[in-house]
Amino acid sequence: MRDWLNKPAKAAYLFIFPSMVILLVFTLVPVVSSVVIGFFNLNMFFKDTSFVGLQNYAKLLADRRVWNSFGNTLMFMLMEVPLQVTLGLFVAVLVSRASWFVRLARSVLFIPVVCSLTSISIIWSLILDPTIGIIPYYTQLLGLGKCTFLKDPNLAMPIIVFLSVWKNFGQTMVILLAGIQSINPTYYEAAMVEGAKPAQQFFRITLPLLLPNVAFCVITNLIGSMQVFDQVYVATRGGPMFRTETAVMYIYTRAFSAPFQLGYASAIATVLFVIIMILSLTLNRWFLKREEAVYA
Amino acid sequence: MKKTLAMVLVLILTLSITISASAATEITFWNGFTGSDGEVLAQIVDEFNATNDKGITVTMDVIPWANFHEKLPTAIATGTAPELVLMGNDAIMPYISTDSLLPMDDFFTATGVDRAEFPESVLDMFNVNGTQYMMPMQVNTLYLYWNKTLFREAGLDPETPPTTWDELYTMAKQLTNPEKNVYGFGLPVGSVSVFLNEMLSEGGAVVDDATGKCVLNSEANQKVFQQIQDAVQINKVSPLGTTGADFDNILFAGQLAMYINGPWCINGCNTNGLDYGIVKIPAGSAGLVYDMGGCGYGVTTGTSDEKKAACYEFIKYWNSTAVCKKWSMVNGFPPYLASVKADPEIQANALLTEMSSSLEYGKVYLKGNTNATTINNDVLFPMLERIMNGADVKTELAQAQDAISMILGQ
Repeated sequence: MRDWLNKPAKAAYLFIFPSMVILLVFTLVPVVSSVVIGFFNLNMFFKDTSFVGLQNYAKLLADRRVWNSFGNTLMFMLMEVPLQVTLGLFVAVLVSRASWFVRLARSVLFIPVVCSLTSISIIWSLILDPTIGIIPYYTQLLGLGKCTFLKDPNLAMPIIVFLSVWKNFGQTMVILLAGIQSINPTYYEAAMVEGAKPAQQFFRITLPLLLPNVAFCVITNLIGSMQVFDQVYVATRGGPMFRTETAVMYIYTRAFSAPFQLGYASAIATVLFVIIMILSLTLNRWFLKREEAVYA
Repeated sequence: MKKTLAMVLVLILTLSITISASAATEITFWNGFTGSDGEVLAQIVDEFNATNDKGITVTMDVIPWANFHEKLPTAIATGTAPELVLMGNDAIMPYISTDSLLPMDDFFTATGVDRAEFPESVLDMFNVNGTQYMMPMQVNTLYLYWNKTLFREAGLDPETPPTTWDELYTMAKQLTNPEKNVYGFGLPVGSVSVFLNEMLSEGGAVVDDATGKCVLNSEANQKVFQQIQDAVQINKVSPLGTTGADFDNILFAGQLAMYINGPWCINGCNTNGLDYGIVKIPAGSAGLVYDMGGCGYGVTTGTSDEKKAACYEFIKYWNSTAVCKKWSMVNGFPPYLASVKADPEIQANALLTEMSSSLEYGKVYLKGNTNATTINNDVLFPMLERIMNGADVKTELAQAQDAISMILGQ
């Protein structure tokens, strides 16, 4: 056994074993269970369980709140991902030079990332509260009228997007910054000798060579944005008028409030899983093709 | 000899500790009393733990109501539920329909508590199909709170609150002052507290008691919701999208002139030094009709007989004259026990006496309906929010009636 494990290729299994166990217990088993539960009429009390086949899926097609929540999720994703990656990239370029001020700026910009999303959501909902919030107070003093922000059906989702970008762009910035710093400086030196302007250097050198990092950020942010929940749960609970009710928020509502429809919620979760998988794979393939073109 | 004596003493001591330890019964108790009334509840639990002679220890865990109803089903399903739970009568049906609560029909015989002390209407709130699933802990009646300072500033008589809904909305308009961030009346989202009482007292209803059919789209209800919409959209008497918890804070901050809520706001008003009054809610064309609710103690399925007996002991303690009187006097909840109602101190309190009489004409909303929570969360609350945001009242009521009828299987 020891001899077998001492072979480098075999020893690798030993090292990944703990991670595989965690992945199996906390990811694979729940995913498979969720798919299976989606075919049952099952409540949180595990009483009167019955197999209903595709009935939960038929039900979700006719459920207006399912369509609304997926629409809201899509809207969130379309606003949040481009905004976050663009902002992250812009700031990463700005802080890529080495000076004490830039190093301080990097740390400051990264602070929201290490803060709890729940705390941040609570703080922002207090700051924006129309009655006790500091920002509505100043908007009124400035004669802009009373802004209701998170209580306004048209503003609530953009504010959730802003909150999410503000919280997470530091992480995107760090990943892209690492990519920028790993680009060989001789490319830039050669470009400068050839008379390339900073914008040309960015679009012809930085961006193409940063594509793997950008791809990683886009795909991980996309997966995260399709699962947006915490900030919505804390700041708006899906309101006003369901305008911020996202897919995961709706799944949570169906499963964890009366009548506790675990089976139905699992069916919606399965659909969300499939959508995220298709989107991620499609984007991944697209980025791979682009990278091949760049490096060819 | 001395050594033997010491050993015998040690043995006796150890045995007595073991016996007393085995006689002790510990029960876990979950509730959602996060407000100032929860502090009084904690005091009473501590007093019970210190004074009961059966070695019972009640360990209380206070969880916000929203999380309470998320955690409890999971705990019940996994066999980790607390023995004793406290919840509103409007939330019990999902637990009863899944056999998650033990029947408590044997409570009076097991404890010797006099059943005649309890009004039938109060016991009936927790009785489903002839089975008693919970024992009363409190009866919730809503009051109208009014801020006398804001009444004075608006040129209204601070000692004359509105007695009808029409008066209330007229006064609310006069009391609203956008420059000072003062709102005339609080109309919360996600709550039935205002519109249900207004509907009932104007002769409307969600479901007809006799036929069991949804009658939401009635003329009486259309008038009520139109009045609510006008109050928010035209007269701006209430901020949009505000929850009951937010309104509590606005009331305590002295920026809300009138608000309908339970007695749990009294402590907050006192703490914040408000000059306020409380009175019964306004009457409508059908007179004064209350939506009566209450909280009750339940014992979860799987609780052993020994622990069930310990739970009963605590419930018996709660339903004693001294404890119920304390609860009513400190927190303003209307007394329901006959002995508490007859107490001279309670009788000297005009408001409590008035409120306890409401038990006779209060109506329990959607009693015994397993879909009550779904009807509220999925239909009525979203409908109310849309109406407050300016949606057509008749269309909304018609759509909501169809949705409720579908939920009721009609």
